[in-house]
Amino acid sequence: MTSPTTTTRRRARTGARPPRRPLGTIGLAIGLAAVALFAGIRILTPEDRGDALSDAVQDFVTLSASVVIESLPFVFLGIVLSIAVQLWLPPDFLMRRLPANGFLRRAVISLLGILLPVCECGNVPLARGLLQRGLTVGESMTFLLAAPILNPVTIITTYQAFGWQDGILVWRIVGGFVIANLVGWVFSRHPDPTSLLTPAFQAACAREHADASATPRRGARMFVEETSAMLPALFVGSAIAGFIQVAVSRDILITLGQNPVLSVFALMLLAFVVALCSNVDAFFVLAFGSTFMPGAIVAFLVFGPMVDVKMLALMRTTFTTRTLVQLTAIVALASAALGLAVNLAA
Amino acid sequence: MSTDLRSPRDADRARRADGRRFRRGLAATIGVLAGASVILGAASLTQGPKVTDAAIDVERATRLAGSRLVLDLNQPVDRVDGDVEVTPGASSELEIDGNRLIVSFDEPLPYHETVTVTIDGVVGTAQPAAATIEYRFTTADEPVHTLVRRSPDGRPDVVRRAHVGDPTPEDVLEAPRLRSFAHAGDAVVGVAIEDDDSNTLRVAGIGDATQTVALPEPGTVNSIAGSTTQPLVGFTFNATAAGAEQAPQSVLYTLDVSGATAEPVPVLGPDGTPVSVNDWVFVPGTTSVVVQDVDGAVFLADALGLSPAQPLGTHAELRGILPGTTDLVLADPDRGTILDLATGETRENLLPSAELPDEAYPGRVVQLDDDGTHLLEVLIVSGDGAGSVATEALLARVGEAETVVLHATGGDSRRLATCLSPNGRLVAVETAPIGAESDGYPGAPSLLGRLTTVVDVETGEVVLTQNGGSSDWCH
Repeated sequence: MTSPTTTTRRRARTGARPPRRPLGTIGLAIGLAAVALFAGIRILTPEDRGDALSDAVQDFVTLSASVVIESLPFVFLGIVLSIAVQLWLPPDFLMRRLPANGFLRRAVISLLGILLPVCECGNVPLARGLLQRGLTVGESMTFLLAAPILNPVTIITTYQAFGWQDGILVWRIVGGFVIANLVGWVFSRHPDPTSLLTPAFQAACAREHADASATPRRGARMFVEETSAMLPALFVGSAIAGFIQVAVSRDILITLGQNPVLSVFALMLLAFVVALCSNVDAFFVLAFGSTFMPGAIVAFLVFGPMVDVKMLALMRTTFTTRTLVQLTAIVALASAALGLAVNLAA
Repeated sequence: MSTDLRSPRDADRARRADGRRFRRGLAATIGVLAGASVILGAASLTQGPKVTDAAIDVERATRLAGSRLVLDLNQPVDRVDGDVEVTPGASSELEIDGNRLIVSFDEPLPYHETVTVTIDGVVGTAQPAAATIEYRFTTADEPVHTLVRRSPDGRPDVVRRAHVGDPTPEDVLEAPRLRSFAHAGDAVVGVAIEDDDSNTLRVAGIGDATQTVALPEPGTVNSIAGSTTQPLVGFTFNATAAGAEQAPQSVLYTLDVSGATAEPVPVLGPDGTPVSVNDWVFVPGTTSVVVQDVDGAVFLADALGLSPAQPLGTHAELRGILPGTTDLVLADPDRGTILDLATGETRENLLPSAELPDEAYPGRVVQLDDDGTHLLEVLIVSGDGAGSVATEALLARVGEAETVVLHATGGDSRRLATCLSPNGRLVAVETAPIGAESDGYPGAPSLLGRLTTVVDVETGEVVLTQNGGSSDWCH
C-alpha cells in the first residue's frame, strides 16, 4: 500500500497546483466585512425598526449565528492544536508510539480525544494536522469520528443529562468507538488513500512537508491557511443548519418521533440539521427524552457528532465528496442499526 | 515496497484488484448495516407500543381515591382491546389521551406495597401489533404514631413512630406530659400539659428543634387531628377563663405546619364568627373541614379562610368521611346519608346487617366504603351460670356477603379504641390489660400499659404491634 505521505510527495513533485490562498484570504476578508456591515446596520438602525425582519428570517439568523458562536472557540482551539502538532510534534512521534497492528492502532487513535478534548468542529483542523504528521486517511477518519464522543467533556455532559438511564451513555460510548473503528477499517483497505483527499489538501500537505521549520512565520501562515479553509466552511454549514431548522417544522419531527422506527431516523435527521457540538448535544436532546425512545436518543448522540451539515462542510475541506458520501452512509446506517437495536432491547 | 519489484502491468493489475477488494468491502459493509437496520426496524414494528415514562404520586395514591398513574407511550394509542389488571387487586378505570394511558384507582392503594398494573391489548397508531403494557411501582410507607405515657414512671411522655413497612420504632416528640397528638406530613404536634394543667402545643419535625406554639389564651386542647394530604393540624380549644354562667366554647382552630411557625387560626362558621364545635373532620385532598356545631348544624368551611362556610343541614352524628374520598357519612335517627362534598349529591346509606350471636352487643360503626361494608365493635358477654360474667371485645368486618372477625381481645385485655387508617385498609386496635390502673391525667385520663395492634382489614393479619395508644388515625 502506498502511504499518503509518499503519495503527497509524489504529487508535489508532479506539479500539483498551489492552493488558492488569495481566494481564501479574500473570502475571510469578505466575511469580516459582512460582519462589520451587519453590525453597522444594527447599530445605526432605530429600535422600532427591529420587527422589519420576518420571524423566519430572524430565526434563521439566530439559529445560524448560534451554531457559529458555539463552534467558533472549538474551531480556533482545534486550529491551534493542529498547528502545534505540525510545528512541534516530531514527524514519527505518533508512529513510533502507536501499535503496529492496524486494529489496535485505530483503537488507540480513537481514544486520542481523551487527551485532546475539542468538539467535532475543532477535530477537523486537528485531524488535518495529524494527517500531515503521518496518520493514514483511515486512521484520521477514526480519530475524527471517535474523538467528539470519546472525550471527557462529552462523557461528563452526557452523564449529567442522562446518568445511567436506559444505558444511553454506555451505548453512546460503545457506538462511537465501534462505528469510528469500522469506518477506519473500511477506508484503511483503500488501495490509494490519497485519492480520498481533496487536491487542495494534498497540495497543502506537500507544501508542509517541503517546509519543516518551526518558525513563527510558518505558524502564522498555517493559521491563516487553516482559518481561511475552516471559517467559510463553518459559515456555510451554519447557514445551511439554520435554514433547514427554519424550513423543517419541529412538529413534524416530533410527530415522526411517535413511531419507534421513524423516531430513530427523525432524531438522526434532527442531529444532522441542528449541528450541535458534541459537548452540549446531550442537554439539547434531554428535552426530547420523554417523547422519544432511548434508541432514538442514542442514534442522535452517536450520529450527530460524527456527521452533520456543518461537519460535512468542514470535512469537505479535506475529503472528496465521494468519500464523504461513503463515510456518511456507513455512519448513518450503523447509527440507525444501533438505535433500532437499543429500542428493541429497551 | 513490493511494488518496486513488479512490472507496471502487474502493479496496475494489483491496484485494480485492491480497488475491487475495497469496493466489495465497502458494499458489504453498507449492505450488512442496511440489512441489520431493516431487520431491526421490522422487529420493532412487531413489538407494539412501549412505555417511555410514567408518573404517579405514590404517597397520594395511598391516601386518596382517584389517584392516577400516567403512562407515556412511545406513540399515540389507537385503542385498548384488553383489560386493566392491578395486583394486588384494586378496581381502576382506564382513559386514553393521545400517547398516554391514564389509570385511575377507585380507592386508596395499600401502604408499602409493590403494585403491578398490566394493560392488555394496547394498539398504537404507528404499529398494528398489540402490546401488553406493564408498569410496577411501590407505594409509600405509612407512619404509625402512638402516645406512650411514661410520666407515672418518672420519665417524659413520647410520641413514638414506626412504619407499616418498618416496625422499628423511634421517638419523635418528647414532653413531660402529653395529652394527645396529631401529625401532618413530617410534622408532629403534641398537646403538652403544663404544670398548671393548661395546654401548649409542641411541634416537632419542622427544623431540628421542637417548637412551642402558644395558644390564644389559657385553656385545653381536645379533638386534635392532622390532614392526611395537607400540612394542616386542627383542634378544638376550650378557654378556661370563660365566665361561670357561660359554658366554655369549644372553638375549632387550625395550625399551618408547612414551615415557619404559625399561629392557630379559628375556623369561622357561616355567620363569619367562631362557633362552638361538637365534632369535625378534615376532607382528604382539600383544605376543607366539615364541622358540626353543638346544635347539630353541619357546615363545610375552608381551613385557610379562602371561601365562606357552606351549611350542609342539621344531623345527629358525623360518622366521618369514607377513606380517601369526599363522601361524608351522616347519621340521623331515621336514616343514614352519604353526602358527596365535591358534587353535593346525597344518597341513602344502607348498612348490611351483621351476623351476630345472641350474647353479642354491637357497638361503634366505622364505615369502609359506599357499599356499606363497615367495621363493627362487638362485645361478647358470657356467663358461666354461677354468677360470674366474662366479656370479650371483637372487631368484625361486616359486608353484604359475610361477617368476619378481625380481632379479639381475649380474656386478659380490654379494647379502648378502634381507628381506621387513612387508606381504609388497616385498623389500629388500642387495648389495655384488664385491671390496668388509670394514669390520672387531668381531663384526658387513660389506662397504663396501652398497646396498639395494627390489623389488616381484609385478612385480619396483624401488621404491627406497638406500645402506647391514642393513634392519630383515631380522629
